[in-house]
Amino acid sequence: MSPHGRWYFVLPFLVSVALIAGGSPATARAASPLKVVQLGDSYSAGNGAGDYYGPKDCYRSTSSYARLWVSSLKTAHNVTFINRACSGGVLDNLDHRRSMGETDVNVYVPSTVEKDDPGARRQAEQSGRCASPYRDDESFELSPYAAVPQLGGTVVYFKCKRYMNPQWDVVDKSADIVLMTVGGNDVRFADIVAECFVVGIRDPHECKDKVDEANRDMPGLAQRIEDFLKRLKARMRPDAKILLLSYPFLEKDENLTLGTEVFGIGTRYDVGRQVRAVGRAGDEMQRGAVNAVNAEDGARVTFIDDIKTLFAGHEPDGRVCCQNDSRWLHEPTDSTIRYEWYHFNRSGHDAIGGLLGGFGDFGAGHSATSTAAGIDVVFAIDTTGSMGNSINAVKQTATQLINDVSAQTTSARFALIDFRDYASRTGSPGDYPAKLDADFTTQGATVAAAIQDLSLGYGGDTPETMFSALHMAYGLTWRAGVKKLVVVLSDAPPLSPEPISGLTANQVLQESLAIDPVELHLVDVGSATTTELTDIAQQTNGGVYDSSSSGAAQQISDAIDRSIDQPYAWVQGPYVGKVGDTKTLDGSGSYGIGSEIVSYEWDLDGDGNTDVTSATPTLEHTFDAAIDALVTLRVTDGQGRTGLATTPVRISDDGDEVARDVDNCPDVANPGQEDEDGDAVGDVCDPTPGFPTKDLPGVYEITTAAAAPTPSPSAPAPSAPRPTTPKAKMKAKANVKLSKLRLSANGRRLTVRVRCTTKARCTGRLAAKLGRTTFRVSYRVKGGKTATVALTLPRKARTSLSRRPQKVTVTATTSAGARTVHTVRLARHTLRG
Amino acid sequence: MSRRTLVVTAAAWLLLAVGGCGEGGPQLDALRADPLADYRPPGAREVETSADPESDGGVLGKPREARFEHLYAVTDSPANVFDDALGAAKAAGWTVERADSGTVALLVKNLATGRASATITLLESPAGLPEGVSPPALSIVLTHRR
Repeated sequence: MSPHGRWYFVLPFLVSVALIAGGSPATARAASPLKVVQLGDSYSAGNGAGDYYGPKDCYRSTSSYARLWVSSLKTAHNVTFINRACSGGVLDNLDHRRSMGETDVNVYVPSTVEKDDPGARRQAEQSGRCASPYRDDESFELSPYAAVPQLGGTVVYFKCKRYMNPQWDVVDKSADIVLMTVGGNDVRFADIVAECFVVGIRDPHECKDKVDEANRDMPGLAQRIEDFLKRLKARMRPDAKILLLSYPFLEKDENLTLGTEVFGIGTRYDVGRQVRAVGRAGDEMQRGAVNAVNAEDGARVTFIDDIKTLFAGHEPDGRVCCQNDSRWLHEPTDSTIRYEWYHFNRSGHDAIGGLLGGFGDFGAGHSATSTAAGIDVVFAIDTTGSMGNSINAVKQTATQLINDVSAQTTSARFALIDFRDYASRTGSPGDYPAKLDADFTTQGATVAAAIQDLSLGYGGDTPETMFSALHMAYGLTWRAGVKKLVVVLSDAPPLSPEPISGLTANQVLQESLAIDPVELHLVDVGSATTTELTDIAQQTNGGVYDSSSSGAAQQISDAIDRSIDQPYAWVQGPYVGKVGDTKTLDGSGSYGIGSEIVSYEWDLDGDGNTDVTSATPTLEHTFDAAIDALVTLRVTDGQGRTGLATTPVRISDDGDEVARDVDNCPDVANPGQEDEDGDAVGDVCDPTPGFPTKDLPGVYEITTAAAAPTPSPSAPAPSAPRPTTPKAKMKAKANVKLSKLRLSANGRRLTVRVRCTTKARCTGRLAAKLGRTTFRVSYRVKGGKTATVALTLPRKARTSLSRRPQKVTVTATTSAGARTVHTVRLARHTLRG
Repeated sequence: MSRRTLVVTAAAWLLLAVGGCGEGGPQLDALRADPLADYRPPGAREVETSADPESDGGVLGKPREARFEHLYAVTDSPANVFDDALGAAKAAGWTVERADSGTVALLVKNLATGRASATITLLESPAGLPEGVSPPALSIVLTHRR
C-alpha cells in the first residue's frame, strides 16, 4: 500500500454512494455474494458517526466508514455486512468472549421456593431483563444467589452477567473480507488521550507515563497481532481477504507541549511529538505483524496505512483556546458522549469510506453456484422407545449425510440434541426433556459419532418434550449470515404447552424468528405433525415431511438439500431510530441459487402478515409509532422457492434502545446513559454535565507558531459540532481529598486515605513521588465514601527510606479533572495506625 | 509485648487489610497475588511498579483491564535476565504461548478470577523507559482479561 494519500478516490466514492442512495440497485444480474465482516474496536464499530444501534456500549453506527464502503459494493455484489466491532475492544475480544458487566434481576414467586427453583428461573428469563434481541452477538448468564421470603411468597435474586461473544465467531469460510482496527485499546489509547489532550485531566507527567507504557507494550502486542492474524487466516478461505486499518494521529500540532509546575519545579513534555511517535510506532508494529503473516503464503492481509496521511490537518486541536475547523475527529466540545471524543466524525468516516472505495472489493467474492452462505444444522432426535428403527436408519447414513451437506456449502456446522420426556412424568429415571449430545462443530465426524452413540429411553405416553429440544437448540450459539436449520426426527407430537418448562408453540416460534430465523424441518415417522408444528415450519420457512422409519435418513437429507437450494435472504439491519424516522430497509444482500429473486415481501411489524411486496430489494419506510419487534423479509426466486430473514427493529421516542422509564434523558438519544456529574440527568440533556474546562492547576500549554498541514480542498466538510456547553463555561471539580499518608506492612506499603466528596464515584490515579522514584496506582471510591488506597513501594524506595526520612508527594488526578496534592515526610519507622 | 506495640501491630494489620481492599478491584488483586508479581530478577534493578485496577469506564468511557507492571533496569546479561524471568513465569504456572524471539515472551494463565496474560519484554531501545534509565530494561506486565 502506498503511504500517499488517496484523495482522488474520495469524491467519486461520495458521488457513487449518493447515486446508490437515490435508487435501488438493479437486481437483473447474476448473484454475486460478498460477505464482509467487521471486527475490532470503537474506530471500526463507528463511534462518533451517530445513528447507533446494537448491543449496549458497543456504539455501532449505521453511518460508519465500513457501511459507506459496503454501500458502494452493492452495485456489483449481494453484500452481507456483519459488524462485530465494539467500543473498548481489545485484541483478546476478537477470539474470546468479553465480559460487559453484571446486573441484578429479581422475581417474585407467590410460594415458598428455593433460589434454584426452575419456575423462578423461567420467570427471570422471560422478564427480558437478562436478554437482548442480538442473539448471535451477546450471551447472558443468569445465576440465582438468594431467595428471600416476602409477602407470603419468595423473591429470588439473580445476577445477570452479560458477554459479547468472541467477535470472530462470525468469521468462517463463507467470509470474503474481514476488516478491522485493533490494538489501540491494548496500548490504552483512551488513557493517552485523557492524560495528554483532554483539558482538565491532562497532565504531562501522566501523559509521559502512558506514552511510555504504550511503547513498552508495543513489542508484545506486535506478536499477539501476528499470531491472531495467522489464526484468523486459517479460519477463512485461501482467497478471502483481511484488511487491517491503521489509526490517525490524535493531535494536529506536532509542537504542542505541556508544562507543569509543582512546588516550584517545572517540567515540560512535548505531547504532540511523543504521541505522534507512538502512533508511528504502532504503524510499524502493525506493518511488521502483517508482513510476518504474509511471508507465510502471500499477501492475504492488507495493511491500510494511509489513514494518517488521509487525516493530515484534520486531527483535533488540543489547545484550550481553539478548535480545528477542518477536524475529522471529534474534539471533546463536539459531543457530550465521551465515547465519541477523539473518534471519527461523519467527515472522518466519509473519508475512510472513500479511501476503501478506491480499492473496490479488493478482489474478493465468489459466485453462488451453491450456497455461499454456509449452514448451521441442529439434529433434534426423539429417542423414546418407539424410535428404534428410524434412529437405526439415520445411524447407517449419518456420516454420508453430514459429508454431503459439508460438500455443498462453504462452511457447515452441526449439532445434536436428543429428547424424550420428563422422568417425573414417565417414571423412567433414564428419561429427560432434552440433552445436548454435541454442540456446534465444523467437525462432522464428531456429530456423526454422537449420532452413533444415541440410545433409546422410555418416554411414557405419546407426546414428548420436543419444545424443550427446540428451546435448547435455539439457545446454542448460531452464526449470523448463514442458513440455519433444526431438523426434528420424531414419531410423536410435542407436549403443548409443555408441563414443567411451560414452553408453548408460540414461544418456540418467536425464539426461532429471533435468530434470523432458524428453519424448522420436521421429519415425521409416526404422528408427530400438529397444526402448531406445521405453522412454525411455515413461518420459519421450513417444512413438514411424512416418512417411513426406513426412509427417515433420506427425508432428512432431502430437507437439508431443499434448504440449501432455497434463496439466501438477508436484511441489512438492525433498524434503530426514533418515531418518525424513515429507514431504508435493505434486502439487497439476498440472492437466489440458480434462479434470480423476483419478489421481496416485508412484514414490518412482526405480526406474521406481509405489509409490502416489491420487486426491488430496498424499501423506504417511515416508522410512525414506537415498536420493538422483528422485521421479516421473505424473498422468492423464479422457481417459487423462498428464503426468510429477520432483523430487530427498535423504534422509540428518543431513538436509543434504553427503556423510557429508566432513561436518564428520555427525549434525546443517549445509548450509553453517560452522566459525568452523577446527578441522574444524562450528559446529553444536562446543561451543566460537569466536564472540566480548565487545565489542572499548574498545567499549561506551550505551543509554537509552527503551521499545521493545510487540509486538501477536496476534503469533506466536518460535521457541525453539537451544541454543547462551551469549554469556558464548564466547571472543574476537585472531588477527592487526601489525608493520612502512612507507611504500613513493615514499610512495604504506602497508604493514603482518599475521600470522594461528590455523589458520583471518584476514579483516577495516585502518583507518589519519593526521591527520584515515582510509583502509581489507580483508585476508585464510591461517592461520599472514604477508602484507603495502598501503593506498594518499590524496593529502591524502601531502601532509600530506610536510610533517612524523606518527603513523599502523593498527587491524585481525578477523572473529573481535578488534582489534589498531599505531602508528608516519612521514615521507615513511620508505622502508625 | 507492650500495649503500645500491640496496638501498633493491630493497626498495621488493619491498615494492611483495608489497604488491600481499597487499592483496586478483584482482578488487580488477583494479579498482585500471583507469584510472578513478586518475582525479582537477579541482575536487574527495579525502576518502576505500576498497577491499574479494572474499570468499567474511564475518561472516554472505555473499559480497562487490570494491569500490573514491574520495570527493571538490567545490569547483568540481558539474555540471562530474560531467561530467568521466563523460567520464573513457567514456575509460577504460566503457560508459554510464544517465546521464540528471545526478547518477548507471551504467556497465559487461568487465575481464580479469570484469564490473564503476561508479557515479558526485553526493551533494547530507550522508547518507553523513564528518564535516567538506559536500555536494556525488562518489563513484566500482567494483564487480566475481561
